[in-house]
Amino acid sequence: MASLELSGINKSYGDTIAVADIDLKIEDNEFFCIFGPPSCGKTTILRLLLGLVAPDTGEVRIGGKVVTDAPPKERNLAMVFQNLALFPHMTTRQNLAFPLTERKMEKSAVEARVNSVAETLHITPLLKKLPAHLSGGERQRVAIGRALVRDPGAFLMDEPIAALDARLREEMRVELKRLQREQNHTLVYVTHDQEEAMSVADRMAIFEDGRIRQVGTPADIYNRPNSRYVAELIGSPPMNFVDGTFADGQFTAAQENVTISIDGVTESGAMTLAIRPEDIEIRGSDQPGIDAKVYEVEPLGAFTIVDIIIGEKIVKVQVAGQPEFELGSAVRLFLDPLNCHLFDGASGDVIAHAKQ
Amino acid sequence: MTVRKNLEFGLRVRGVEKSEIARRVQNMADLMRLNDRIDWRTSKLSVNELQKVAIGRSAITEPEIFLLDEPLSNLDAAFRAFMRTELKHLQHEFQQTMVYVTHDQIEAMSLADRIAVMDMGLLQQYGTPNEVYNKPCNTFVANFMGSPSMNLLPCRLTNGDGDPALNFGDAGTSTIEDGELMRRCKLARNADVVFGMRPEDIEIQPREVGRPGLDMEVTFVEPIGPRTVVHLSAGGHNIKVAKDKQYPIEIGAKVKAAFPKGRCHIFDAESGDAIGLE
Repeated sequence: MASLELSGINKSYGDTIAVADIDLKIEDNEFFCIFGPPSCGKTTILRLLLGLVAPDTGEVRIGGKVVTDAPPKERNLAMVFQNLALFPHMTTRQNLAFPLTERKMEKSAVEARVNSVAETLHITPLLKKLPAHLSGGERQRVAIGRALVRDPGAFLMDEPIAALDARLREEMRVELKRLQREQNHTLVYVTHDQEEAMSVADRMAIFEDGRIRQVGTPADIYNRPNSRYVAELIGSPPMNFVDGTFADGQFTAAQENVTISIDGVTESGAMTLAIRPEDIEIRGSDQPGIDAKVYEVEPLGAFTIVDIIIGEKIVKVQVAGQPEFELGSAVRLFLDPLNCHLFDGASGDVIAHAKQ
Repeated sequence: MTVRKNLEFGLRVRGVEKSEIARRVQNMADLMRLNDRIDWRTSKLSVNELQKVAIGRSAITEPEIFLLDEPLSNLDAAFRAFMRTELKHLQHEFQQTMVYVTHDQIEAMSLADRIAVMDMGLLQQYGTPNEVYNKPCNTFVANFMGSPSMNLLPCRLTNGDGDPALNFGDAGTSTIEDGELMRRCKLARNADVVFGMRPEDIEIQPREVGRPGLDMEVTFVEPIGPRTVVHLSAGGHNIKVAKDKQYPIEIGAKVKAAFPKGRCHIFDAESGDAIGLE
């Protein structure tokens, strides 16, 4: 398949900036996620790649070849949308065959191709059914199949499974990943679901207001977010943030009576200390640590989220299993400085990850 | 109407005295952290703030029973997590009976003192979140509560009159060492059953380890931040194992999925009901 490249791309609609300063290379055979909140420019990136809109400045390359001015049909990309446009009067077989007969492919070749794609997607038993008789997950497979029959240079998918229920989404994302790996596809996948992005992506780009904030592997981004913005978006329950100041190797919280020494940080000034819920330890009130109280307990079976209040500040802590806590009881919190992150108090850019 | 007018409304139609209305609106605004929005028109509020006003407006009349129908479904994920905690705290403060309808098992587990799990109009199970999670009464409840969901593997109890063993077909047969599981399996000798294990309870071990379990192969690894979900497969059976943090394992690795001690589930294959649940 093909690599995809956007360099120096800007695109505005009137006064509204859709995307700005985009430099992105999606490698051959890569599962690449574009992640961000609604209207941050995710879909514009797909439209630029497809050739549905032209950039104001910059270059689009597919497989190393400049296609900035090429029409969509010359780019050989396949697109799967969230609202699946299957023809309601056609059976699965006819829906799958459509892109091929459209291209005047020979009948026996169409037959062979449709059968092989149906097998890959485990939809052979559905070939004679109409879309109305398929479940949501089955329709999704057929829509993906219709993109697959064409043997495109790369696949673009815009929230393809967002409309399915939670359980089915979990299954479908694994299916998509299996398919992509077995068939060595280049796949660009737009989602606003951070867990979905983390689960399937080889690499991902995080967008904010039309700009790329960070590109990296899911582990990179989870462990080393380059800004408070990225840190807030990735991870559930979300990361905890405490505003304060940093000087002489020590962080002092603004509101709460908390100080933490962090080695190897020479900068000083207004900063935000951040730590993931699973990186905080709850200890008995006779142990050393930060004075706090149990605010609420949220049991989730496999783990428990304990909301702890320090002064006025609520901190979420994730604990394995089903421990019991009494509401309002005094506890101490232990934060390993090695698990802390520091962000600039004003810009939100990362100052340091304590773990190098 | 402004936020204040919305909050007052229920009290005014009930003819509550003016000074009392002012006092209760002030209290509610404090509680909901709506003080700086109190004179705003609701059309200027965000969805998240609107939902707070809606909850505050109902709560202010101090009803004996508070009914909520999916109140958080339309909020974004981060705010939903925040509101979940707030709502639970409010319920503790108000000391009100709250009946909360949701299709989101995370909300049900995290908020409820007790949960009624419904399917097709029938009550399936009623208990505390941990009771429902730890001792599901049938495969519907087992599958519905928890994410990733419980692994449910169809298998057959074999070995005639001797100690039963679990036959997973092409994936092999496993002995039973766990006393509680043995007790339950003996109630269903030589029957088709469904064997259940929670993803977080399964241990991944080298195959040489002589523990009851299945020899399986890693087919997929999902790093989802605080947890890693490892997918295993053998003889047509697929299971998920959830590990804390980032768990180092490669696709294709040949491992043993060791059955968790004291945390296995067994259900009748036909009815789906738990066998020998105490």
